[in-house]
Amino acid sequence: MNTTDQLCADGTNWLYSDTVKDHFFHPRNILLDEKNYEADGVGVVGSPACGDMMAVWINIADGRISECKWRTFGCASAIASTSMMSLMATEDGGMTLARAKRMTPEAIIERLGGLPDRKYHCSVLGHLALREAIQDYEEKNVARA
Amino acid sequence: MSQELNTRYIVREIISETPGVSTLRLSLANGSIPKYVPGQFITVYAPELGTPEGKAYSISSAPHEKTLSITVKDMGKFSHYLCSRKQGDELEGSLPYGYFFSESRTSTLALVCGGIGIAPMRSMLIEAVRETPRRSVALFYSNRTAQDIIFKKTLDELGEDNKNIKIFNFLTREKAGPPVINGRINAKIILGSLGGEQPAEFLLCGSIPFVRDLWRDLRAAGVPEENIYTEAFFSH
Repeated sequence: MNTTDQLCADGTNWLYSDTVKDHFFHPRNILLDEKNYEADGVGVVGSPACGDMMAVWINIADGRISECKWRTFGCASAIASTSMMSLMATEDGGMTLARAKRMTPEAIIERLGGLPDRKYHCSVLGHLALREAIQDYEEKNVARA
Repeated sequence: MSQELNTRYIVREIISETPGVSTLRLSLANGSIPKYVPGQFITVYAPELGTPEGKAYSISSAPHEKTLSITVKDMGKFSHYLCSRKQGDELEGSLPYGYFFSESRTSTLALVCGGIGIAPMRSMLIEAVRETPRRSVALFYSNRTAQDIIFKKTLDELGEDNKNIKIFNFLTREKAGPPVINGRINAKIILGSLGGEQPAEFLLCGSIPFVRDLWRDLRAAGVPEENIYTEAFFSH
């Protein structure tokens, strides 16, 4: 028997996997106030016109992403996708920058247990913002070199 | 590369490619074109249609060409609006943006696409011939029928004139003889066609299910995640 946890208001099954729901209700690495947060790289993407905005802050240690913080004005899928993206970027000692540049929506969605196709673009925002943050870090470090 | 900024483009020419697919050749008002890297896109805006967020279209031209082209499949209100533009019309759009490009100039490059997903691949192929002619590049291109193959003449010529460029056409709803391959693209065919030319870099572009299935198939075949990069669009 289905419980209310598994059903939408109209009695159909949730479109979202348990992993998506977990990351939406308990987002990892979210940064609510960046005022006192020092980051090596910052990326901001999205458009206020369409409602989705994404900011990502990263810190780098020994060529790997040691911290990946984020904040979004986006939907449940954007929150869950970026939460998962931040986890993937920092787990197992952190991704190398080369590896993080090649993180794909498909990899994020696979780890989330799937997303409806109409929500695919929500997973793009997070990894684009991460890519911008890496670019910001690399530009600053080339400038310092 | 910075986040996209907006500008105004002038439609210089519209070319009918296949039934329902048109290329819009654009330039800035002064006749120049903005700098871009093959694989990037522009976001086009048409707020009068009630879609203030705009829509992204991959650039199908190569940077040395005189105009910046987007190739559009007429499949909805927004794309129909674009395909109905006339020479001299203005379009609001972003400057080129995006990261869907190769990170290498030497690795074997496998471009895998379906339908209108050919747009950024055309840009990359032409650029590869011009800038890295020794690089091995293989295009795996899926369409329903032969008449759906966009840029067919260009692709045939690129394959015939350049020994390092290989073009593999796949048809899913029509039988055809060699060199066309009947059926869907899969990892086994791609990896078999590349032979020993590993490690390769894989760029996938097409509908969300097309890209997702091929990403999974390549991963299952042992291709490392970091060797695959994707660009997908909602198609229905």
